[in-house]
Amino acid sequence: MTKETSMLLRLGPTLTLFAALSLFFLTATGSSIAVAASSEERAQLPLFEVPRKPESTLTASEQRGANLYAYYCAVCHGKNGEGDGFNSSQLSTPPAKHDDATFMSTLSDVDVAKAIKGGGPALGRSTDMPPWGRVLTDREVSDLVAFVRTLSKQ
Amino acid sequence: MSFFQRIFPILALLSFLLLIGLVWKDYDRPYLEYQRKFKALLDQKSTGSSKPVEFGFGYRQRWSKELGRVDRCETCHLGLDDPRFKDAPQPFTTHPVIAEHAYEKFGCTECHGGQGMATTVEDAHGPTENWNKALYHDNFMENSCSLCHGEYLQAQAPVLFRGQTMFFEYGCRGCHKVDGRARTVTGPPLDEMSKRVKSDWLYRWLMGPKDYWPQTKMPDAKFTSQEAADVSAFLLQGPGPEGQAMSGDAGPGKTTLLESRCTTCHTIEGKGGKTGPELSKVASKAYPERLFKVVKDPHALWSDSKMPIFGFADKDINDIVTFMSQEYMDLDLNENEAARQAQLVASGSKERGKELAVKQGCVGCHSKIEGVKEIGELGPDMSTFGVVHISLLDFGDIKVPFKERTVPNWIYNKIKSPRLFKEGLKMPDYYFSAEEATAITTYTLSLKGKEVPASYTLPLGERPSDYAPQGAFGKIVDKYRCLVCHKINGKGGEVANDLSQEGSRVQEAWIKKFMKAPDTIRPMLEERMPPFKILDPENDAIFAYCRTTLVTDKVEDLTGPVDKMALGDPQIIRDGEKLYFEKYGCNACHQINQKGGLVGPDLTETGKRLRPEWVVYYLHDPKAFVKRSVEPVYALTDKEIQALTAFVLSSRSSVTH
Repeated sequence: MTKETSMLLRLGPTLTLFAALSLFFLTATGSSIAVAASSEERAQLPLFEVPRKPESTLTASEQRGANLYAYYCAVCHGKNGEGDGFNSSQLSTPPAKHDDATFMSTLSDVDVAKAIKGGGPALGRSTDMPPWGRVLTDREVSDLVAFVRTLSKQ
Repeated sequence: MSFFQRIFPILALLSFLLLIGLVWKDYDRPYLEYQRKFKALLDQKSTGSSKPVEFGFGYRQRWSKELGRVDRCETCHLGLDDPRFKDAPQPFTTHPVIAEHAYEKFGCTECHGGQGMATTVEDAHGPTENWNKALYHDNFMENSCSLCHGEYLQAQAPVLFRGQTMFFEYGCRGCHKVDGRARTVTGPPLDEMSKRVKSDWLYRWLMGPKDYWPQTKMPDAKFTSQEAADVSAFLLQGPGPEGQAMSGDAGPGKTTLLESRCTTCHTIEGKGGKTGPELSKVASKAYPERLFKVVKDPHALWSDSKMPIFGFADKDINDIVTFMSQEYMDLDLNENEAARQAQLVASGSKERGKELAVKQGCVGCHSKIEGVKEIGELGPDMSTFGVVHISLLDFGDIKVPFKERTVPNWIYNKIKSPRLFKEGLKMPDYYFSAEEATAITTYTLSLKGKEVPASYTLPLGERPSDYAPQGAFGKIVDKYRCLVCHKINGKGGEVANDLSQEGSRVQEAWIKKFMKAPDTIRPMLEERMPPFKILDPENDAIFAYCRTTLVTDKVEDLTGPVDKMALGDPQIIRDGEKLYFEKYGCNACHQINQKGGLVGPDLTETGKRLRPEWVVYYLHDPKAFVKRSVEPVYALTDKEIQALTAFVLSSRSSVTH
């Protein structure tokens, strides 16, 4: 036996191991590519959706107030309290701007509730603002006050 | 000493330790941790008050004998009825308004779901093995209201109500049974299709109904191009259109069309209602001869059509259709592309088309499909689907983590993307938004088929009645489809005002004039009453029915007192004017001669429109007739009511007729 062949024989197991290992890693990498492809495909399917809470920063009371505001108030005061509802141009006294923080800071919660319940005259202002005290319950009025406050906070 | 003698003390010690451990484990239940935290919070909130804090550790349990429920939720949810915990973190948060739903009577899980007897977070809230009812997600909470209150809770449970309305409007009831609700077939009948629509249009429509008209209620069956061609070929077999293009005058046709207020129901160039189909591309869709027939008598073609019979003369219809044929073309349509589509349909397979039409279940919404049997509901029965067992729901190929495998989540996803779970499912896609899917899921969950004890039942909301007028008036209501927009005695639409008390409300001369030429009473409404060609005998019959049947004694009994009022007295009218403008600011919402607000109806010439008794009745209690009207309520004295009535009735139009 020559020197070379004995060296090959000694290297044999090492080489075999090396070959086996590279084969293993190659297939492993190969299969991981395959997995990536199928997950990409999956992403194109409509995915199962978990119902999410509607994104709203309003509390329950403010949300109830928001619904009432849209129904009763927005025609004059505007959807976001900017005083630009579709009826506002018809009024001799422009409706209060609820998004105006400086103006709103002059009114206490009690004042706002008073204006809602008794109308403009309750605060010595225009009769264009009607009284809602016989239409809304006390809870609804306080919900509305809570919501009106959020309009000048942004 | 033997081996056993040596090991015995060690074993005895081990057993003793194990016993201690078991006792300790049983004593220190997870809920105690929450109770200790709550006690600390309670102490903190009570500092300064003289009363000592009383708090007992241990289980808290409610037994609702009638409902057969035992709920231990309050073991951890300790702040439920203490308003001081309004902003406290869960599980201690105060329950919002509970007044009418006391725990003593209702418990928790009847409405919220979950496992009432469990005392660990996982078991109580679920989902957990062998307990079907996980806690409802907030989005679907309103489903439980139906148990006691029914499903018509427009004000109190808007999501449930919306889901209920959508379920029937979108024709779900065509394929899915719901006990106690009659099957409704919502789409038009599909007979004589070859005489009605062009083949390339039908192909495009089937390929994507919402691409053609985004507001349509027709779902997408997701046909491939070949499938759409096959189904079109099947539906279009039969003789082609009769007659030729219309030879009327487009000019007057346009005028008639615009004056007829078609946009109240039809979308034209992106504006208008969605009760009827889109119109501004209609000439590329339907044959002129068919359009003529539809305008002349829509009910002859489809007995459930919502379109009224306008009563046009043939010449007018000719002009209208001529105008539509010239102007209402699909401008985005490429002629070569349309020809290619028509060719595709011409070479489509009718047999394959029929198979697809049967498989897809077109009969769920459409009747009169030639050669396809109408076999009623094709989909699963929904009558008790709200309490279906989770094991019966197939999540298919979708990997859903155990925590999300709940009945509501399955229904929500099924509605949102109907073919998500498996390939080959039949339910078509409506492309519902998250809110729409939430509403329908809520309604589906409300179908529990379960009855609560009689003492709990409290139907709320307005149930649609089965009012159906007979005789001459019935025929008129049917001809003009009045109930599509108006409501009478609880039946009909919400578009226009309720007519249940119309006979007590308006005067004979006014109603007869209005029926001939309806003008605008509420300036801001986008929907306008179309001018029908009302015949004189019809007009008489309408008034006679209103005056005898659509009346209320609350108004009729006021005739005596109103006769005694001096409504023509100039001084009283002047008093009323002062009240109207100065004290009550009525002009903020109502117009007289173009001056004033746009919220309420125009009050110019009220004296010619309303009966004085009605004005008095309305001023006494504006909410008596329409509960949700946007109308403030004043405590008017009888004298003020008299003056305001006198003034409003005295208003004359400044425009000379």
